[in-house]
Amino acid sequence: MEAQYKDEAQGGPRHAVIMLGLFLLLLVAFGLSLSLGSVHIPLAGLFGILTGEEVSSPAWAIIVHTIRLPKAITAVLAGAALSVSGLQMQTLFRNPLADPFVLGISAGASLGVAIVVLTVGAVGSVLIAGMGFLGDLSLAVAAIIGAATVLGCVLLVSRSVQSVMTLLILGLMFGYATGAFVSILIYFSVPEQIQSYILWTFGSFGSVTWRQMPVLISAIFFGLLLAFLCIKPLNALLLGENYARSMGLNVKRIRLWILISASILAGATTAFCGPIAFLGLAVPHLCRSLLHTSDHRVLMPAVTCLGATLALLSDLIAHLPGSQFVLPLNAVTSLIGAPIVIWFILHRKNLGQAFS
Amino acid sequence: MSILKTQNLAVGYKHGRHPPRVVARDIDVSLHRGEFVCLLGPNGAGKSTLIRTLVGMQPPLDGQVYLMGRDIADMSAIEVAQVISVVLTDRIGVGIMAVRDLVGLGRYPHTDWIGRFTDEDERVVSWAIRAARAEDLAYRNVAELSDGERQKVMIARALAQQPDLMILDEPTAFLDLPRRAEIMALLQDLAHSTGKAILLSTHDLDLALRCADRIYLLPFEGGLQTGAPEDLILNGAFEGAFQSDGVRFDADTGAFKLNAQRGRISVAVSGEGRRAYWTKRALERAGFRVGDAGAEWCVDIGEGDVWCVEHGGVARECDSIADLIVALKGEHG
Repeated sequence: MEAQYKDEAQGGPRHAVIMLGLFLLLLVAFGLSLSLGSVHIPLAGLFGILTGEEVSSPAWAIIVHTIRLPKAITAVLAGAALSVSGLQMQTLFRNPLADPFVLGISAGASLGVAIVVLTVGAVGSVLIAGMGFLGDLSLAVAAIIGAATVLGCVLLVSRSVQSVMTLLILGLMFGYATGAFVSILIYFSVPEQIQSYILWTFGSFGSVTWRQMPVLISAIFFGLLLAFLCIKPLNALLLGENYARSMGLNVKRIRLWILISASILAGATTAFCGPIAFLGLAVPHLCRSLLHTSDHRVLMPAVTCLGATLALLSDLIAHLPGSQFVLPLNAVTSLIGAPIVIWFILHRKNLGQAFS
Repeated sequence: MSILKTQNLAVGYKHGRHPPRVVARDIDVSLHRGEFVCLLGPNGAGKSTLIRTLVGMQPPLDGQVYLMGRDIADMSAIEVAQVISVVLTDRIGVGIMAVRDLVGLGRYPHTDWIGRFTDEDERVVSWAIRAARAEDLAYRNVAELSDGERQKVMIARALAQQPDLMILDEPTAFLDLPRRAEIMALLQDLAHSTGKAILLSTHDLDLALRCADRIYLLPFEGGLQTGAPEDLILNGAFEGAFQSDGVRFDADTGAFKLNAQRGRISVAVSGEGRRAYWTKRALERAGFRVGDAGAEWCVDIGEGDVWCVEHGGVARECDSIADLIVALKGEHG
């Protein structure tokens, strides 16, 4: 018994094994997502394409280069970003139900997108016809502006707010308010516009082009860098803000950095992929459960890996390999993810300890 | 040099444009190495506010707090953290964490950006756990600890921070008497053996009087008084601070006495020893006045388990105190 506790507590080797496993899983998922889809590309061919060799089927190379590779990279970035952002929010608000969107970031992005999609018709159908690439980008830009506006409001308010609980409630209120605007816009829109808005809310990793990729990559790398720099403060915040302050943490400043990091991660992801539910809430819990620790030095890399892996797998399932059908990504993350998390949590029985 | 010194300190709360609400003012104290000090006072006198101000969690309304000779307002959080560590009443929800890792969080002001431990850090953590007598808890999960165990662990965490001064806000609340005594003895011993100054607030008057080197007494009015526990009893400071309708501090015994509704009916108790003492206590509790011989009622404590009640020449025997009380009350409806 004592020995087992010692092992669990010191963790070291056990954690290293699990981390290695998670990383290998990520590689496998990445390979699968390049290989599987409506057209099956064998692994050998995949290697050839990625190393730039001549391959038997040029169509494969086009599929991988223009569709699957950007989609897989987007999924990795988005999954990691949402999960890390969720972990930060859960620790900052000391609330197991917190996720990347508690501060109304996705609601802000939705409003931006809704304004673009639902009002274009009013401006004239000429615009829609000429949208093409510009249209894609304008969605992302609108979402970024929307998310950034809400983020700005939250950060501004957070400077004068003492308790994180107030901040949490304010974030929820921002979310409701922007949601109401979206409802009004929808109410006055024609069905076609509503449909394209709804399509955006389903989420997708497939709409990021190579030209947009650098923007997404740099935003998310910056967000992740900040998040990894906040690992030590996040551990101190496990004891609550008062203890954290007593240990030398500048709580207000760190809170600001964590909010900035989490919001960039969630905002950039939502802007390019739509509001992807569930990953940000579930992955931190899965990792705590799996690694049996709340230590962010272990959790942060684990969450990054597992988030990316689950995003890849969800996308894989959504594309129903071998068929021409595609399911909405959000339906897959929640429909398949929820039962897995429920089973996992009931089985391990340690979620209750997450913040009690 | 004193570790902590206050000058004309006033503590309280400021709400926007409203005039500040001063809870306590004119506080001048200094704390020295190896001193074990208890802060006592009735609820609402401002103990927690004072503690929060001393550790820099809220700004003073007036006056200064000096830490190792420097004004705390000019010090960064990390500088303060290297001098003071705290044990608060905050509920801790650290999630899944082993005790040793929690204690390790105390190394926060001493470790690098990601919190990596050196051999020195490991050594300090082991020492802190040993010093707080929490060795057998080291590999337990924090969420599974009892209140008393958790308090020891939080003390170990505060020790691991290697402060010159530890400040504890009601560390013995929610603990049973043996655990309270254990924690107080532990803290007293730590102050004397490590040379750290320890300041704690408590409602545990009796233990504080027995353990503390000095008492800070914070009454509702009249400002903070300091001194050796016995001096404060002898000069009547305690009686003044804890004056209320319900209870009275008895300077003879160093304990509180209930100002029970002093009954109109006086009862004389004859007899000695333990049974007589508890009989008197029972009578006071039941609202009788324990008087001298010549009272209208007499209780004679005889041999064996018999109480003999006599009134107006009529005597009656009771075989327990409960019985005795019933008999007396029955007569007076």
